[in-house]
Amino acid sequence: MKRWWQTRTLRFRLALWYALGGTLLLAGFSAIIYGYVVDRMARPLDHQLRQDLTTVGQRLRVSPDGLHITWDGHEAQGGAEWNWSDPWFELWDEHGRLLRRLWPLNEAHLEKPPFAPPNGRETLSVFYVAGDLRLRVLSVPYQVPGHSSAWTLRVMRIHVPAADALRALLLIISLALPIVVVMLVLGGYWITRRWLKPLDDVVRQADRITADDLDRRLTVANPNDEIGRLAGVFNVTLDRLESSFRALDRFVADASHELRTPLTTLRSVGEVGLRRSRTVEEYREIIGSMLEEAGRLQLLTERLLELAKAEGGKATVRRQRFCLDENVAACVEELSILAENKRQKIVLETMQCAVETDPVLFHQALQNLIDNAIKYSPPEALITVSIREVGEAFTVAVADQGPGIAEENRDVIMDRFVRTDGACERGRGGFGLGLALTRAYMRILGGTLEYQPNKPQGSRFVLFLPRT
Amino acid sequence: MMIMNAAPGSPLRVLVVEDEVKTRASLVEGFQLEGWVVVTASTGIEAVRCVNEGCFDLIVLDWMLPGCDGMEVLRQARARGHRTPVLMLTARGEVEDRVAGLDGGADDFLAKPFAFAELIARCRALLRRQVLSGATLLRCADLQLDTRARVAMRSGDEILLTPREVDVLEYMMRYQNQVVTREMLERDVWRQTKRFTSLDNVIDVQIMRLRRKVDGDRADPLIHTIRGIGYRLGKDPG
Repeated sequence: MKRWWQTRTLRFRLALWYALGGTLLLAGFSAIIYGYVVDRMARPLDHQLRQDLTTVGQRLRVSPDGLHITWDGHEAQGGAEWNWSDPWFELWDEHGRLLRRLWPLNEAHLEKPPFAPPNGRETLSVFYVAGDLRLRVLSVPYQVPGHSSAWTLRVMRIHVPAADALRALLLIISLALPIVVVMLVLGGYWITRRWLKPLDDVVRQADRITADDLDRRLTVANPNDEIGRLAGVFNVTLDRLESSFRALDRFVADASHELRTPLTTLRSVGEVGLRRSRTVEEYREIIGSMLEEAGRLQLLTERLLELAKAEGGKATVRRQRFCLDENVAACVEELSILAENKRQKIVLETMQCAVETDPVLFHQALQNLIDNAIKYSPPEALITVSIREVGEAFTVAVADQGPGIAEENRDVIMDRFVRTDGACERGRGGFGLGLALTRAYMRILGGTLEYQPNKPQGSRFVLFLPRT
Repeated sequence: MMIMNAAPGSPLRVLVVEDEVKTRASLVEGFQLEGWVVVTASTGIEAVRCVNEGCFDLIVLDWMLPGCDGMEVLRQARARGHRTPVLMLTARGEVEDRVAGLDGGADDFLAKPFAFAELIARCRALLRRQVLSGATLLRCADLQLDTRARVAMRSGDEILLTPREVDVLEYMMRYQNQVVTREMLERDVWRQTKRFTSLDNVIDVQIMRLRRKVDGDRADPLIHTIRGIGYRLGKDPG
């Protein structure tokens, strides 16, 4: 269940939080300031109260039985005759009874006579005795000589703590607070809008990217902030998406183009075969030829699918630890019969080495290279397969003494359906997919396929395979 | 397994479940040429009825069927206790599908498109597995191969063969009088799990050499090329 604010935009929610947090913070701050000012302004009065206390101590006398209370030697009496310049005070006994209240005020005019102070400890407080009269009072325990328990003495003064200034302060606070809050909300809204604007741009740009223009990318204003990182990640995702779409497109294009050739052969052989009646032998020959073509068609389709899969990153990789030299030796051994047939010699320069990768994919990649070397080398040529260690990787190079690859063709030989120098020997297996597959497999295994001219003549294909 | 022990001489009964008309017709004809009795079904529901009513030695079952698919037919057949060997045909060659099919009770699997020669070979293997795996001394006419000693003789003369040639010859002798395709050799003898680079040339050269050693210039060659399909070892060219 979503709360109502969770359905709003991020911008709205941020502004809301600014407003709430700002208001609370400012209110608290103002309260502290106000309290502090009030306290500071009351301090001179407290000082006067302490002076009053000293004066009272000097001039007040209480007899040990507590019955005679004298002020400057006279019996103390409050009311109109009390001197305005003398301190005002009260005396309360230990039972909370008022013994004397010595001040010049007429108690009949008071709305609320002062109540009893707490016994036995020093307190400082403020109370109203009339609507416009506020008293600040200081109560202390008062020890009567010869008496077991302490009375309480309370000195009082009219409390007028710069009331005007305080009122002004309150006014300032209550006026400023809403203004500041409004500014916070507006500023917060503006800032978040400004900061989130790149996000809006990203949304707008991403919205325009469709399957047809996957080459578009999001502009990354600042690659270090969160939005920049988001856009960066999105771009990487787009890269992957684009490459798999490309692979699919290419597959469709290749398939429609390259599959036509065997299909045409298939049709024409069949049609021509049916044009006149033939002997059984001739029919066998025709059907056999059609089957061969169908077989090629099947093989081509399978390889195209595999290539599309490999290039689109969908090939299944089963990594395991194995001896690279054994794998290479097995590969050479498998194909050596073809070399023998052309009286070619395959020399294996090997070394012991273990790798962790997919042995099947690697095997296929290497098989293509050796097969090519045998195919393109003249009879009695020498083919060298060598394993070398290069840092944390191995290279497996296949060098032949064939015609080599012309300079202008070197960039394209690894593309699909490229057959050089009219090696359009479309006979057995010559689809022109071998190098493309090898390169795709090596890419999956984290390696590369490189071409180098072989000296003095021929080609050298190097598989670069990381150890793991 | 029990049905396999049908009375000797009585023809094998095969149920072919396939919805594609042309494929079905060619399968039927191919099996009939082997001398088998063929019953067909074109939908899953029909197939289930056939399985329940008839008694078959083998079922060739297409995975993708209208109505209920091949896996469902297989499941129902196995649930009812039919132990008949089932060979599934699928247009999907993925390993996962293969595993799912074998888990579902299929005895073997063949991905489309397939060579009919291979289908027949697989069917025979399912019907008489023990014949294919058991014997150590294989014979064909005056050619014999001791698979344990790995020695081949023709008319009493020993033929010197490389290890790979022995493997190929043994495979062909086990499947004698049947066509062996390059795919079968590639997978079963060369143990190549992927077919994206070609060993076809290697196989052709290997067979050529084997033929030179086994047949030489004899008037009665045993190894025959069946154009467009593969090779066949047997007395007559078929």
